[in-house]
Amino acid sequence: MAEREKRPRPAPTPTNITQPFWDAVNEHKFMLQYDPEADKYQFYPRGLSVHTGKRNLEWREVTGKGTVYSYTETVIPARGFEGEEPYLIAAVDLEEGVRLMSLLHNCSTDDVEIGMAVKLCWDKIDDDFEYFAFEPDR
Amino acid sequence: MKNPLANKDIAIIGYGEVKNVRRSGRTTYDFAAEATAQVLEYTGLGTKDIDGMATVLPSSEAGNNFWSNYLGDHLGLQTSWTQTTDIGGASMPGNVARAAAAIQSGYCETVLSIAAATPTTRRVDDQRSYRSEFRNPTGIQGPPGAFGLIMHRYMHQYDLKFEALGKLAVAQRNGAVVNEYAVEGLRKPMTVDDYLNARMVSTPLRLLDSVMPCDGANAIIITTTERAKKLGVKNMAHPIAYSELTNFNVHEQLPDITETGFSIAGPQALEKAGMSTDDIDMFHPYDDFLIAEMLQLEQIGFCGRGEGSEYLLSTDISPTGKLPINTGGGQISAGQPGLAGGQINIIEALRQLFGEATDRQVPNPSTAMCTGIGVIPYVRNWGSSAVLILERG
Repeated sequence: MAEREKRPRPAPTPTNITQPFWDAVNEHKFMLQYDPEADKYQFYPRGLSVHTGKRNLEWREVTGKGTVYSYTETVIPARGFEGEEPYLIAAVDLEEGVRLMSLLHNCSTDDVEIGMAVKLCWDKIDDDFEYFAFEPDR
Repeated sequence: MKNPLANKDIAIIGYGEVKNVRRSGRTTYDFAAEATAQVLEYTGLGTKDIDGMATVLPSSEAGNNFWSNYLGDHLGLQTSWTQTTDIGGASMPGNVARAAAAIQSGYCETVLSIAAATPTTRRVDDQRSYRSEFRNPTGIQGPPGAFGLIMHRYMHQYDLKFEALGKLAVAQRNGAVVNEYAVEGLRKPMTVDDYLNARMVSTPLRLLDSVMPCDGANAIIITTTERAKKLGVKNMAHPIAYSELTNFNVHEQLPDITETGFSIAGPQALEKAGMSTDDIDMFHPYDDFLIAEMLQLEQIGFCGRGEGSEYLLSTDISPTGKLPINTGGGQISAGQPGLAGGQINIIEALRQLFGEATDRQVPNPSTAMCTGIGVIPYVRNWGSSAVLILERG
């Protein structure tokens, strides 16, 4: 099969809701929205707490440590990932009780398993933008 | 449990369907017009006999915030009740219930429920929120990637036999081979080995687990049973129960992604109908991926949780079997005409209930269950689950 033409990797466009999150990611900090009344975190960032319906959310820096909830190896690449296949995507449960999804680096398909410990790492999309990813926490 | 459809005062009196094709180059309006002309011919009605319209917002027209107006105008419909539903593949079963409620409330009497989409010719949809910021930049392969995550988790919790999914793929393909409305390129027989050897898209999900997008359209007409009798229509089917759930488990930050809204909407629809799964003569589930059908079988209650593989392997799901499933090929083998795909299972159920399914006719069916699925949320299972039970009139 002819190699697919590489397109630019999609970068997020921060909104008024997500700007603090992306500002933190670009400083290699991971911030989650926290509802002090429910004593719970949430992800993705929203305009109110899904736990109480209030706009009482605080941004809190979290550990970035978690475990793999599920994974998939992408064989046919998504837009902007042409030529990088195969690559792993993991759903990860953070210690703070939220689930995230992103690339799983430094791990082969033979080594990945549900329940394995992972930690956040960083992934340059382009000169202006960092994204979050995961790697094994060995 | 309250069931506004219990007394069978609503009837579906005909259907129209346009053949699925890839990259037709035609407009969504043209497809809608063809499906409308067909259902009008089937029922013997004219455009002036229609006073309500329900539709779905397709990706091919998603930039138009006057979609209902434009579509109804194109079709020559003056309506006193007009509805665009945008809960993805749950929209069209949802429109049967919405139309029934509107008719019972007196807002209209005869509804054209029309679905048309041409996503392989034109796509102008643009979802923001979690999709643009937290899905697309990760490199996940859209819905196949999301279902890859769901399948691996299912395999961690339960026993998944790929031969069972292969059997389902083959059964549906047999339906598509004899379905003249299926995408022509899919009308070739396949084997379980073809499924097992198919190329991986996003592990463990294979190419043959998935739908093939295409352009298409379909339409039904819904009215009161009283008017249907006055018109002397040749066939009718009553919607007798409907349940829908959107954003299942949204408060849970760590939900079980093998579980869906069907675990609530399925049993609820059966209870409304006063039925058990044994009373369902055929099952026409929304089928974007094979695993989605297995999850529905389990969560609606045809078998226990985690027993889907064994159930499929031990059950005859052909048109003459114990539980015929997606006898026309479903979307997986007939093609997925975008969000118009959400009604092709209803069309097939009507064709069967009306005894018009020719080579794939189920012997004398009196009931059918049709379902709808809408949207893939952020690292969760699907967002909308709809269950519609039909009974021959």
